[in-house]
Amino acid sequence: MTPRYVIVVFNQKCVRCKACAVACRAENDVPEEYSRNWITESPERGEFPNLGITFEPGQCMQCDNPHCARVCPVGATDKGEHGVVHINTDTCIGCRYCMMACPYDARYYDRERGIVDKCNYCYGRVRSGREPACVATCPSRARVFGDINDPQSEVSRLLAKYRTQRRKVEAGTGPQIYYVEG
Amino acid sequence: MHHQWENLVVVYLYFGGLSAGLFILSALCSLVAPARLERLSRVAAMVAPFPVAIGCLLLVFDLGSPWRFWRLFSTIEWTSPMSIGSWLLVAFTGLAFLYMLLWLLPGRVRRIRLGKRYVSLPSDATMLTLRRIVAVVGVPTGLGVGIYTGVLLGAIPARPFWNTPMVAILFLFSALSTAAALMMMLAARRADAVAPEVRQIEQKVLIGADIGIILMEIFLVIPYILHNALSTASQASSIELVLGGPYTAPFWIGFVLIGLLIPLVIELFEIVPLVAKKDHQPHGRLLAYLTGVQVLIGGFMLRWVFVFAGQESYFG
Repeated sequence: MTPRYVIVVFNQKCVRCKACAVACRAENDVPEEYSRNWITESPERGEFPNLGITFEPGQCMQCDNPHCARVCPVGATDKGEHGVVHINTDTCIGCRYCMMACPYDARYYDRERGIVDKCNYCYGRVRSGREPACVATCPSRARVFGDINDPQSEVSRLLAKYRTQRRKVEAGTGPQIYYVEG
Repeated sequence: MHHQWENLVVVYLYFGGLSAGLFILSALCSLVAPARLERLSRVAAMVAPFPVAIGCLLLVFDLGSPWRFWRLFSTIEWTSPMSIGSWLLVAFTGLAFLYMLLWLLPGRVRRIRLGKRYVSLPSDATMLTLRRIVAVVGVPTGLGVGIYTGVLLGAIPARPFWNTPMVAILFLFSALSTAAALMMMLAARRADAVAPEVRQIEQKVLIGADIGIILMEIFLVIPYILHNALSTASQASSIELVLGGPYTAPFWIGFVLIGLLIPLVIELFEIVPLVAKKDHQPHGRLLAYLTGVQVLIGGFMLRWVFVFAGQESYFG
């Protein structure tokens, strides 16, 4: 079976150090004003002195039914091999329709290059057997990357063990990042 | 999301709709009453190709990589409204220019020079037949363009403000209304050039049509607002953008009041005596200009609000 890559995220492990954002920028040459990944924070819980807050790392959800690919007028985005949603930057005309279609606002418009870009799971690294930069760099191992089609992989075991959630499933895009909230 | 589509896209959607409306109304006039509505049909046909042509140019310049625009026409992506719309736009713009020529040439030009040779054009009768054919083919194409501008926005679950089938229909009716308004103004400009009976019929047709279209728009706006407000959390929060949110005034004053309600009242005031009294002379130019300008502003505001507010709405 061909691999299909997903990420399992442990919200509780994220300490919002933003090393993932820095690693991604370095790996993918992302211009300073944009970012391919992000960390959102929950509202504060509890009462002083027992306060709590959780962080949630996010990036392109590599959807099973990517609306960004569906609406592209020139076929520049597709659900490529191994489940990674891929932008062909040589084909993209910069109309930004895909940015309208993404429920996660995971894409950015690179004004300089006149095209749209986003996370591609560091596909070059993945193809040579390494993990995406954001996963490899995370000091608390909040992101786990792997092949969901391999029952022996760590992500498969985690998905069997934990109850996970996906974001905005109702939008119908079939997102492929799984969150362990508990 | 930060606004990615801005005023160029607003103008483009507006101009696309305006041209589609002009062509459709012109074609209908010349198919239904070719003799009595000839002037209206002609004036709309003369103007129709230009807004959409300008709009397409603006759209190309709005691309991040304008020199790659040809890629739009190297493929048809059946699931992408923008791809289908691009092809529709090109087909429609071509038909609109051809239609304009078929209004211009008959009775004036018999042959044209190509290099050193002269080429005879078909006889006037043939050209008139041709014009009817182009009109018949162009109406569905124009309807396609008018609807497409709304489908472009509506086909996206991620933007709940847009994600309803009513947007496409609202945009189509608004396109027809702005076209009728522009025709009203153009017809008023040279009102003395036609016999009073003809002018009377023109007025009845244009004002009557616009009243009907505006009523349809009102009947679309009401369910659009209600339906969104009473729908899922995403839809309900998105409609708040025009119910107390930052787009409230542009929507209710710019579009509903200036673009629909005031013109409706003026047009009713104009049409009642036209229908009731046999020899009533239409009101002066000023009223036609006033109504026309308001409808044109309203149509623009509708697109402006939708383009900007829609990008601020989000799913979930």
